[in-house]
Amino acid sequence: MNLGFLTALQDLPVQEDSRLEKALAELLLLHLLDHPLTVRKARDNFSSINRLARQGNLQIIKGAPGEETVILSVKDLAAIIKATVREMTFAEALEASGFKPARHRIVLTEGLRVGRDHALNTEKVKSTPVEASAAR
Amino acid sequence: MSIYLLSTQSLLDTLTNEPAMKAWKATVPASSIKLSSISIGLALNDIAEVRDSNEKDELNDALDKTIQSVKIYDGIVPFDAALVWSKLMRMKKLLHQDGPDPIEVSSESRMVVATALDKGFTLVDAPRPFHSAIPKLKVKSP
Repeated sequence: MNLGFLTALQDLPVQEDSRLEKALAELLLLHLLDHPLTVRKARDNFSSINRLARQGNLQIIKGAPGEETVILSVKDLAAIIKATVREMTFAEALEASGFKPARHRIVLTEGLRVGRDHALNTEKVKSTPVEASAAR
Repeated sequence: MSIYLLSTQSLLDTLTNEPAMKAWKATVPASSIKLSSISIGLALNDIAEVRDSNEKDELNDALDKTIQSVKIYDGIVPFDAALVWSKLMRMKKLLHQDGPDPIEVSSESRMVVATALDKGFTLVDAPRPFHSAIPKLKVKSP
């Protein structure tokens, strides 16, 4: 898979479907090894087209804008997903996970817990014998 | 690219989409976010103390989804910064809050700060007095 193609995926305009499809088609053509195929040529040469796709060369079969067909290996599809997923913002990743904000804000209790944070209260711990604290 | 370690309070504020965290998280790549296992434990502990079961469920679900979102980028960081933590534990006057009623940073929070220092992460935290007292600590306040 072409690294330039994968990197460019990260800059695609994902906010609007129509803009995304147009930009993606342009990007695919830019990184295509050969010209897009007609349906007839794809049918007549499917074995070699399939082999090229397996080798990492995306194949495009002509169609109406947005309806072109892309042939690629699962390995390349995984690389595409990985490249695009890596650039999701934290907010987008949360949204994709189904995150729903909770209503109840928690404020962390900070500060020393006397008797628990021994390293920070060494003197206090040392000055309080076990017998004395047990007697209280 | 900076790698961000959320403080425990920043993690808790993520769960409820507090305005500052909500705005900030839309600007940073998900792959740059790290969570300390210590913070996750503290958050779970605090959530367990919430009395309202609906609110508790919401918080647990939001925490679970947040962990999932970070985990796919290997963003959960176990605590293995004992040496740095021991140095932080010996620092007095590391204040979470100053003023007439000062509060020192807890040992658990020092573990999170130690992780940020040890790994070179930028700590995501609201402004705190202790930030400037620790040399080399990088802080991002949303």
